Amino acid sequence: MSNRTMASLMRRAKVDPMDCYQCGKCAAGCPMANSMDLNSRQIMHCTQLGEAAYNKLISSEAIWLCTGCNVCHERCPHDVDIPSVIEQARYDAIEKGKIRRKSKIFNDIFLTNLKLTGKSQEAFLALIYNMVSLDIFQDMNSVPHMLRHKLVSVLPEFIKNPKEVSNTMEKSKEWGKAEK
Amino acid sequence: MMKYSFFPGCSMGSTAKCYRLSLEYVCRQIGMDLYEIDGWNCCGATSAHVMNEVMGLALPALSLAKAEKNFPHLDIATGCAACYSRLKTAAHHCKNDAGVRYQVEKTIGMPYEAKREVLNFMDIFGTEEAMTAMQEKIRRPLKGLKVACYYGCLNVRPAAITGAPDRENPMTMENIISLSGADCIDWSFKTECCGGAHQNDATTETRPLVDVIIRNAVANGAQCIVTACPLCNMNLEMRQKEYERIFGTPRIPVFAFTELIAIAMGAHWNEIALDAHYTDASKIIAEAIRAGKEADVK
Repeated sequence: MSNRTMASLMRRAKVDPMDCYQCGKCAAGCPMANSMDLNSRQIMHCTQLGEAAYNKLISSEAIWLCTGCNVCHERCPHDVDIPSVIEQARYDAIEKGKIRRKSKIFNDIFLTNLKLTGKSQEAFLALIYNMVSLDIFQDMNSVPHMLRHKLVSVLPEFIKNPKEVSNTMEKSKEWGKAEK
Repeated sequence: MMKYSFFPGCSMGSTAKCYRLSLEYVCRQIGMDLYEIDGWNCCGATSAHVMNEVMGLALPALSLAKAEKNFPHLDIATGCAACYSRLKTAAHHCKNDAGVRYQVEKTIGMPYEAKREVLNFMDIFGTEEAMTAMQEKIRRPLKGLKVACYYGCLNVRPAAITGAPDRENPMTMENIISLSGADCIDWSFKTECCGGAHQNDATTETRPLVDVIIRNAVANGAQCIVTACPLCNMNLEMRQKEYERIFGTPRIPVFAFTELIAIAMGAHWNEIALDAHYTDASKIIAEAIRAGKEADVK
């Protein structure tokens, strides 16, 4: 999209950057703030700086580490919808190919599973993710327990009509294109 | 009338086996009917709404539209916090924004009017009718069992969508668990985030979140934690050996909240697959049942 700017991002997020008075209550409650290159207060500061800070915001790792827990928005004394800003920043990052490596791997595998079967395939998601991301042994010590107690299936499971889901996913993508 | 359309979600068929079995057990006991949505699909959490805004609304709306078509007079029940959040968000936007509704209906190729509510099982079991029905079926109270009720994020937040009356210190789960005779502890981390799906793709950043949740529950005297979400349950429970090794985190059994109710109603160990848990809970449960019987005799 041509108008990927801070102004358009904030319009889509339905947030006025000047509503934030930088008190930092959001970052104080954020479970991920310690690991973020930009914490929630700094993200709002970027939006106030406008176009100059646009690239900094959408290239940050923070927007991919946000768990979407909504603590920031709930505790904000001025009701600033920070998760909405982060969500729109992610869409812009995707558009510009700036998506965090591991997030891209995880989401791509998740959505491919969904497209093929209509369901999330927990076991396959974890297994393929480990191979592609090279975190081969992540969570693998739980596998014997899961198999013994039939907590995961060794074969993928399908919903009644996976085609409906893949059609919905394809059509969803067309809306984005139409906006351009 | 306790009848609901039921959106099970993907985990209910796999990793949340104990949750599903106990949920169905409790429903059978109190005469609550769940009608599984015919041809339901994954709500897309967590990837769909992260990658594409319309997809994040259309995927849950597809299942909701089917529920509306098959059971137009029933509210929709779901047991997973992420499914609940996505379904409820889609319903909320379709109900309040004609533009979004038009976009969603075009995308899923079905009408969807968002007439019925999306509810989680705390809403459902927390009603007076359900609480009374459950109370009548309690056969062996779990006396003295110290329970930490963990809500996580999405069952409560964002309050504008969930309508949760108390976003910092919700008490619905405590009210329900109290029926089992167990004691619910007061603690600080009941609505903290478990990391959700980021426990897969941002492990070093999210592992400490669970460490502090478990530590706070144990520090306040909990013998077990109960959850109302398959993913919260898995995140709190599955990697406890790893947490013990890395952070020295204490180990503690983690249940779905329906499991404790089912046990107190007299469910057999195998009937609700209690041995499928990662941390052995047989000792604390047996002790609570024994204490319950002794109190009964007195």
